[in-house]
Order: sequence, then C-alpha cells, then structure tokens
Amino acid sequence: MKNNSCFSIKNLSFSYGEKRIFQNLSLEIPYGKVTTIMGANGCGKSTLFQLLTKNEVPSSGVISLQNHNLSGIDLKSFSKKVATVHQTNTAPNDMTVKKLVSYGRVPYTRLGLPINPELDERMINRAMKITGILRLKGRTIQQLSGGQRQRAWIAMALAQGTKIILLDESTTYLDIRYQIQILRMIKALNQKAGITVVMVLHDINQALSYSDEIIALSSHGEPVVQGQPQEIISEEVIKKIYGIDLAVKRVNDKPFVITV
Amino acid sequence: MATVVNLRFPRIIISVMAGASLAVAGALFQAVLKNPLADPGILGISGGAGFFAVIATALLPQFFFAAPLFSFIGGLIAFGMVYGLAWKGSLSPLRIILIGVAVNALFSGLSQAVNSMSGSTQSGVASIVEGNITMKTWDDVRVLALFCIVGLVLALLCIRWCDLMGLEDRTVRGLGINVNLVRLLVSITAVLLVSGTTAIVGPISFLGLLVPHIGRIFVGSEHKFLIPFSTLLGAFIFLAADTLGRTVAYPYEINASIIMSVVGGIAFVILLKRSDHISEK
Repeated sequence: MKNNSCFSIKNLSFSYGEKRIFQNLSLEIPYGKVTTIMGANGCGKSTLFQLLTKNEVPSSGVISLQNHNLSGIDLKSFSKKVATVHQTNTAPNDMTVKKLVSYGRVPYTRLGLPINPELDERMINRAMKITGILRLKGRTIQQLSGGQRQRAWIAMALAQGTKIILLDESTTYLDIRYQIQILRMIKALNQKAGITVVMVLHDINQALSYSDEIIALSSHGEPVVQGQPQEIISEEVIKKIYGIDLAVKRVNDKPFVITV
Repeated sequence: MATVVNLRFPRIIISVMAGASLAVAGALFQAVLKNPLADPGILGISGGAGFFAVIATALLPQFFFAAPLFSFIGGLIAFGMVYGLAWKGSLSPLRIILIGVAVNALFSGLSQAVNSMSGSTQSGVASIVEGNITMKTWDDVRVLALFCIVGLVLALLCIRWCDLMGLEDRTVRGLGINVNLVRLLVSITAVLLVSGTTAIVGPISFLGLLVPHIGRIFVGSEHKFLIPFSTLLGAFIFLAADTLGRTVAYPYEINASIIMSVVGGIAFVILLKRSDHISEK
C-alpha cells in the first residue's frame, strides 16, 4: 500500500440483492488531492460513496482508510476522520443554520455533552465563514436558497474538522453561479487547508477542471482510467465511460468535452 | 369526602399520566420513524399492548399487577412487527402507517374476541378493551406512575437523539452515531410509555398524534421544548376528554378513549390532507 493513499480498495465486491454493482474492484484514492469519480448513471458512484462512508458493507474485499481496515474503525472515530455531504439532505424546516452547522460537532461530545465548547464554537464559526453563510446563521433552513442550503450542509461537514471530505453531487440542481462558487470553495479548501476531497460530479468539464485526479468507472462498475485529467481524457475514454461519441478539444492543453 | 378521594382522585391522576405518556410516546415515534403521522394507536403499539394486557387479565387474574409487563411485551412485539414488515431498505412513511393499521386491526380484533369469550364476569378485561377508567384505584395509580415516571425520564434523555433523527440516517451515521441502536432505544422508551398506559386505561388512539403536532406549531420542532410541552398538553387534553365524557351525557359516561377517537379521527384527516409529502413517497 502506498503512503499517499487515502482510501485503498482491494478486490471489492458488492451487490444489492441480485444486482451486482462491483466485482473485484481495486482502486487507490490519493491523499491530499481533489479526486473526482466519474461515470454514467447506475455505474455505482453513489454506492461506492455508501461503501466508503460505512453506510454499506462490502460483500467481499477490503476498503482501507489510511492503511486501516474500514470495518475495524468505529463510527465515532470515522466521523473525526471523514466528513460526508450526501446527495440528498433533509432537516427540520425550522432548524437554524447555526444549529445545523453545530451538528458537525456531534463527534466531539461525550454522553451528549461537548468536550470542548470553545473549540466547537470556533469550528462552527470558521465553517460558516469559509462557506460564506455567517450572516445567515440565524435563518432557518426553509428560508435559504438552494445554493445557500448546499453551503450550509458543506459547512456542517467542515465543522467536523476532518482532513478528508466526501461530496456526492453537491452542485447538482444549482445555478451555474452557485456551482462554480462551491467548486472554487472546494478547490481552496484543498489548496489552503490541505483537505483531501473525494467527490462525484455530474458535469464532465467541471470534473476535469477542478480535479487533480479522475477515476472513471464504466457502466458495469469497472475502472476505465485513473489519473490526471489532461493525461487520461480522450474521445475513446469518454465513449468507454458514457457510451456516446463526444468531441474533446484542448484549450491551453486542458481537455474540454463538447457536451452537445 | 372519601368517595372523592378514592374515586375521583385516582381517575384524575391516571388521566393526567396517561395523557402525558401517550403524547410523549407519539413525539418519540414521530422523531425516530421520521413520520409525522406516527401514533401509538395508529401504529398498532397500543393494540398489541392492550391485547397482551387482556390476555394477562383474563388468563392470570391473580397476577393482575403484572398486566403492564405483559402489555410491554405486547407493545414490543407489535413494534417489531410494524418495523420488520415496513422495512424495505428504508422506511416509507406511508408503508409504516398501512402496516400499523393492519397490526392494530389484528390486535384489537383479538382483544375483542377475548372480551366476548370471557363474558361479563371479567370486568377487568372489558375495562381495558373499552378504555373505561371509572373504577380505577390507587393501586392502578401506583403502577401507572412507575411506568410513566421511568418512561418520561428516559424520554428526556432521548431529546438530543430525537433532534438528530431529523436528519437523514446516513448523515447521522456520518456524525458517529449508531442510528439503528438509537432508533431501537428511543422506540423501546416509547413502547414503555404506551404499555403502562394501555394496561391501565386501554388503547387510546390519536392523542400521541395530535399533541406533538400542536406542540410544533407553538414551540417548534426542537425536542427540548417539544417533549416537555407534549407532556403538559397531553395530560391536559386527556383530562379534558375524560371530564367532557363524564359530563356531556350525565348520568351516563362516554369513555375518554371514545372522545379521543371522535376528535382525533377528524383531526387526523385534516393533518393527512395538509401533509403533502406523505402522498408523494
């Protein structure tokens, strides 16, 4: 196992009932980088997230987090190492932003009581500042726009104070302005705070320009390619991932897929 | 004077504790099942608890004091059935209500069958099945107080968990909480509250549904406010229902459970119409 590995997946198999999602999947997700998992609908991206976040258990094979078997890490320790923003989120309508973000400190409680309230308060405020929702802290979730709501969920994950963050389609359904805002924020988190980001993105070009590493899965849940966007993306690769012919153009040596 | 102390007082205290217990149980079920329409009566928990109390009273009348324990077992079995049958990878709100209705029908049917078979000699059975609380004694008060106080203390300890359950299961798990264990513990607390009450006053529907709903309008959905508020309002509403039933057709009495069914049934339809997302899922 490499030292710079964040998640290491070895011979992973997983099925939902009769439906086989992964068979003998092996992958390395690097530490300290922004990695995006790409793939067509139903290729298992979200399932992979559920497996990485201990919400599902592999049928066989091993997932390791920094050389520790995931199944041997209890939920509480895991929640101090990895924070996740899932694709869909619900919260009571009358919950305030501050209250929601403060849930990110739940891992740092004992018997329901905070271990270090000052640190909690600092982390909560920092998370709201980074995501630009500090002035919204008194508002309820219901009063927020889609973009603000998404940033509130990301703030909750940041308040967990982890070095690794997983984001499952955190920009879907948002206006382009909010999409870019969130992606830039993610990039900055990685560059300034050294946070490892693993995400699923729907938009191919956003995935290519905001990621250090791309992991592409075929529609059968097998890895097609992995590496830096400018090195691995080609028309054949796109065809292999999505099953459609799309032109790939290069601007300043950066690949762009013409998605029309 | 002795009449007032020995007939009225137990009845009043029992109404207050029963109302508080059922309302809090409703709030707990609604939180952990993520279902605003969850109610111990509709879910069949009261039905299961009632049937086991009836069995205990009919078959082992010498162990009448153990009826609440039987009732607790019955409540757990009913909860296990509803949960087990409604679980399909996740809990659909509509599915859980439908299964609950079926489980409730099964157990209340069984209770009535035992009531019919045991004849009029078993007044204890009849009073549970019909929800009659006219002849309650200080012994009943003591038994219910035990369940009510233990249950309410446990419910206060569940407050933080209930708030967290307002988020999705996987989000809560991501915060280091064992969601399934939390759901189980909170549910057992709710079943405890329901079963003590049901063994003494019979199955009551809709109280556990209505009170937390009214509570959310007044104090919001945070459980540190909602649970104390439900305790008070539940106690008040059940006492009011019992008083109304006692006076509305004097000298005849209408059981509080019947008043709750009539008022609650109407309110349930209104709530069902108002909650859009139940029909979507």
